[in-house]
Amino acid sequence: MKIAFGLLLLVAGTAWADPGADVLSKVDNAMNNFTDGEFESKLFIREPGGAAREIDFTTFQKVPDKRLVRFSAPGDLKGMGVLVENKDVMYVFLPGFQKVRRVGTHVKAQTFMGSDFSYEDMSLSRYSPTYDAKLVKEDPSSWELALTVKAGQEIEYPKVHMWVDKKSNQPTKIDFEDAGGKVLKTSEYEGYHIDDANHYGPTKVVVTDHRRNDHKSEIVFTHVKLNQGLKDDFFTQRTLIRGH
Amino acid sequence: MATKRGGLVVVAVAGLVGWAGVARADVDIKFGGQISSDMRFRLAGEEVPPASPTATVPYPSQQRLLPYGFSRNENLIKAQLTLSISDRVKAVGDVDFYWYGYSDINDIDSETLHERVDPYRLEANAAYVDIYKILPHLDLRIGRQVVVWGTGDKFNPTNNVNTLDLSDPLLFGKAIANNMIRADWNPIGDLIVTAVWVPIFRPAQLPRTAPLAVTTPNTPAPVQEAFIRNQLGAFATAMPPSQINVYTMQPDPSIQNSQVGVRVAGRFAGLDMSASYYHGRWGIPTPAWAVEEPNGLVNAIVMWPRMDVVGADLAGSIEKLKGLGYWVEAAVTFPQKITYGVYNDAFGGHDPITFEPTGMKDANGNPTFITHIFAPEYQRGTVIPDTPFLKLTAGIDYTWNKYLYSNFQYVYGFIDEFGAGQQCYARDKITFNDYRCEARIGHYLVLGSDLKLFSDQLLLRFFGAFKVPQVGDQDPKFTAVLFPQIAWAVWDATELSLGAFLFLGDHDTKFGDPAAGASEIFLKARFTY
Repeated sequence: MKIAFGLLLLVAGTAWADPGADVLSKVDNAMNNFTDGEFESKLFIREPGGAAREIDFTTFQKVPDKRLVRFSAPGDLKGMGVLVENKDVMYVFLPGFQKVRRVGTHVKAQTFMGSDFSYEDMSLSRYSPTYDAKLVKEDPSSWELALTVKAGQEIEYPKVHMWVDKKSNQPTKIDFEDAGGKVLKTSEYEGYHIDDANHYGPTKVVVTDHRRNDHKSEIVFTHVKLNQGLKDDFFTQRTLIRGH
Repeated sequence: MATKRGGLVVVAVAGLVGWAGVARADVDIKFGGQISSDMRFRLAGEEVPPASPTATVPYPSQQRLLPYGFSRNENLIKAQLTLSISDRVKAVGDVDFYWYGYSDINDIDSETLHERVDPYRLEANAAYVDIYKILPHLDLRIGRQVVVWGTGDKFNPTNNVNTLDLSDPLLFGKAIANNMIRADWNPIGDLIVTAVWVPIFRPAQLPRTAPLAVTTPNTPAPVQEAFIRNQLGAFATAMPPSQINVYTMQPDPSIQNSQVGVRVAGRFAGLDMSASYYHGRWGIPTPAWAVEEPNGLVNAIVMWPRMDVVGADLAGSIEKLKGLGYWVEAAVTFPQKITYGVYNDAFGGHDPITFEPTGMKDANGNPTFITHIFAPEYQRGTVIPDTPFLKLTAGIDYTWNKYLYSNFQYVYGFIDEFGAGQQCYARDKITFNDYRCEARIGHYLVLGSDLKLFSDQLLLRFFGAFKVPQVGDQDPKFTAVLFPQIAWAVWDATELSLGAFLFLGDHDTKFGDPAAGASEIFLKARFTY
């Protein structure tokens, strides 16, 4: 009788589990469907007058957490590097001082080079560990998810709305919201294509910060190389100092 | 045969050309740099060199520093070149070419010379070759370079391999590149063992106001013992020096004078930690001799004390405090004892002035001495005792939001402080034997904050360092430096900045001392490429 009751609970639990969790899991897997990658990118910071500042950088990534970002333009950022070993350990290399400096994770609250991206945005590669997901709507080509931050997690956006393309299993649009559901920032992913190693990747990400009069920034991926076999010893302070 | 040999030559040349072509194709060239302009106006400073008939403006000139006047009018073209071949070898050059912006024409002949009408200087910040993985896990860097150790922000007591460029307060903490061999062994993860060998010592670059500390006749003698200081003051009163010339005793380029350093760094339990050792010299010279010549001329000699430094540091962040960053860095220095030889040659002899300890102490607890002239068997005054001393930096930083960043440090031992015991400042410019003494190693609170606005295009920065009195300081006085600045990133890589570097305090305080420098306001324009 106890066993039967237990099975009933299990079945009921499965039946009641929101499919949003599965969808979010698919998103995480699709976004990280490679072992390592090198992403050459251009960041455009659009000013209200329409002019844009451009920052060129390359991100080396090893799934899941390790990242090394190296800036190549403009001149005042050239040679600067950021190493993210995991969510709690970050280093910055400033070529003018020839020094690698451990930085507290408080810097995640800073904007990424004055753009509408934050360091937290740049370091968030998986949503499932941080958010619970609920499927809001589904049509033949997409899912709409509502994410709520898990208890005990501290993050700038406690609520998220995500639209997911069924073909690539990746987001096409994300609204980042405050606890009251007010949309603070929107990310739009454009130009999904199979970039390498059977991985779908966007060619452009546009971020609009509604708190800054809809100020826009966009990252254009100019060159992507996946699964080159980057080793853990690449993601060290030694690499940060010697440049790449 | 000739034809065959000619064919071989053609093949060899073709091979060489082909090889050279391949090699050239493999070289990755990166070029960058900076063009900038730096204009400053001095406020309420001491004139350098002092206005006297015998004082001359040094060459190449940065002109006379007036109490109120332009103190810098520089233009810089910086060029940085990096050549790499595969991932194994890299050669780096970094050269600054400065034009002073002041003419140096003492006579009509010099006005015919370009380098005197428009003086310039060249600085090489880097000229080294990097070889990665020369052996498994071992990298080598040979050439002119800067090695930076420590986790503190600008205040790094463990960082002694390169000496400092103190010529410009706005470059606070900048190190001077030197020729050295550096080896990094990275056996696993973030564990790195670094060894450095510096064959030839390069002294610190001093500010133009530094000679005021040793060439002003009423400066207290830099000796520890109060009695000896008073005695020397009495001599100076009896025979007032009319001019003080300061000569240097630079270390010989011998193997014994080379410097070595070792550092072990890694991450343990989420904390970045390191331990280091350095054997070398302190970059700022210390007075060691003074010889009274006829006619009130004093010839003084300065030298660079040896030292051994044992240091450690750590850094991390506290997630429970929203990722607050923190760091602690400390070093114990074991200095060479430096004594002060005083000779009276005014009457044709070479008479040492020495002091015999009485074994008793005065009312203030200071040892007392009997003065001897002609008796070299007694002791000289002590400038730097061989007592080990500690320097320490502990700090935190935090990003409040997208716009505001703050940094707070407690510093025990400013970047130019060295030696146990006390240092003294003349209370006024007329009377000898009236000075104020305080501990050589001082306590400081250092605050910094950045406010970034308009997509980081406008930066409002404030930096301040405040001296905190400690037990034993005579008549503690307020003294501080403030560094407010506004920087506008006009466009990509183009920045205009306007600000001030303000020295606050009476002239007998750490930052009010004229030798430390004078307050300046500045306007800079910079383009980087």
